[in-house]
Amino acid sequence: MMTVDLLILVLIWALLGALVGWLAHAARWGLGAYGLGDAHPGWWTVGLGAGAAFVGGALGWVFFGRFFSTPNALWVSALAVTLGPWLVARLRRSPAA
Amino acid sequence: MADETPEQKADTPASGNRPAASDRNEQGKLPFGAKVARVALVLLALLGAAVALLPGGRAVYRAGMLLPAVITSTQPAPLVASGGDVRHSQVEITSANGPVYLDVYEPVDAVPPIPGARVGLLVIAGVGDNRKEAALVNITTALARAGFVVMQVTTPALIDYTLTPDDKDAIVQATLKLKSWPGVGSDRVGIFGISAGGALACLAAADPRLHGRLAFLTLFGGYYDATSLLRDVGRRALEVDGQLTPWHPQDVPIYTLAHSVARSLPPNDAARIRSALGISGSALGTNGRPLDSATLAEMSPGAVAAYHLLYGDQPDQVEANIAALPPASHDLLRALSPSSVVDSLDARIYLMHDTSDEFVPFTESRDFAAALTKLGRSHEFVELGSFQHVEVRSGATPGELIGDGASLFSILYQLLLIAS
Repeated sequence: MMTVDLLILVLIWALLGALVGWLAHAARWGLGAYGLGDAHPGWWTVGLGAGAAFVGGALGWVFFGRFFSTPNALWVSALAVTLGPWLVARLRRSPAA
Repeated sequence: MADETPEQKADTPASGNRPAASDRNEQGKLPFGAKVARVALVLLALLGAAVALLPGGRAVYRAGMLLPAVITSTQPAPLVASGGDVRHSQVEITSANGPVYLDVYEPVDAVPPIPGARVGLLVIAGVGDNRKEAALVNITTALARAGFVVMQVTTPALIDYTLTPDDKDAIVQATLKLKSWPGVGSDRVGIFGISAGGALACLAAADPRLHGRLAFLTLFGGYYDATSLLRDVGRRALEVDGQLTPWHPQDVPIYTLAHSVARSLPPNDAARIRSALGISGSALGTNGRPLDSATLAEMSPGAVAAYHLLYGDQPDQVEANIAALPPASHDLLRALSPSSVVDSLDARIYLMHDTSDEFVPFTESRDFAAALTKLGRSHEFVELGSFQHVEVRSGATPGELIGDGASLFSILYQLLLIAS
């Protein structure tokens, strides 16, 4: 029962993250806006959102408890899909890179 | 979605433009859908951050997840998925009045670093053995999923539908046990008194051992003064805004008062009162038979007065019958009344009562709120309309449920803010 609930929770995080990634792509804040993501920047942004949501959910569970893992997954994925591509593009442009 | 749009390609570093600046410059030319997506994304990020990071946001989220469980008496799927598993354990401790039975519901997960400790909620679910009552198990499980450690407490007297001030020690001992429960913050413990449990909650809260040590006191469908409750039962009417309104109590408050008051009467009289008006009493119900005049003639005047008050056959002589009760009964009623300790209650008090309550008149909570206002004590009182006593009434209209839902949300939010 615990495993099933856990899988459902992770699935919810992933779906939320994918939604956030799709919104970032549609908002032109995703990887495509910076020339990242090869030929499929939309899918990469969705994947980035889902992955960030997983990390955010897990961190939320650790720090705030399971009950607040989902809202934590939401804001972490939103931050990751908007700031992540911008940060990568900026690092690539920097002289050190 | 798969490929970049020509517009996006123009913004790429490979094209030689500065993407961020270009993006900002072109905001005015953004398609409407992109603008909507940006707004939605920002709102989602702010919503998630507020709910996860701010105590007020966490309280709102918890209240929103708990409210459907309270109203529908089920475990909604989002609550189950978010809250995880709940551990139930049974513990027995001892008080000055005998054994105390504790049923503890707590989250299986470890206590998270933020906020670092759980809120402990002691639930006194009134008279009778309610430990397996589905609605009560549902709400305690839901609260545990939301991060509370919920401890239900009962005693042999409560299970026997008897209220006695001697059980105050049981509640104090249970509260102290909850304060030292693993994971519970000792400054985050409150009592939730349901129905007659509210009176014991108040008596315990006024005890020097708990004075100044409770985070809150929540009372749902309780009475304020046992004598005024007996008066309303005796006259089968309530005084609402200066007007007498017919009120027909259910059997439970009658046999609870019968069992309780009987303890202050001579043994023979007590046995007669219990057999006539106690649980499954011969005088109760539509086919109940009242005590005959020969039996009443054998009883003491005080016991006869108690009988008439409980049976409700002398509504015009209620004051005289109350005056005729023996001194021990008066002392008992006073000792069982929150009104006798209201001066000593220092925790924030939340009062809830349904206006159509047939077990305890809602005017009791009104009187309680008025007394707290007069004393200048911190409290909140809501009158509900979709409940019958302490359970959601079947057939409650959507309007009633929405109205009560808003009131319950407000109280839940304030309680959960402590937990967040």
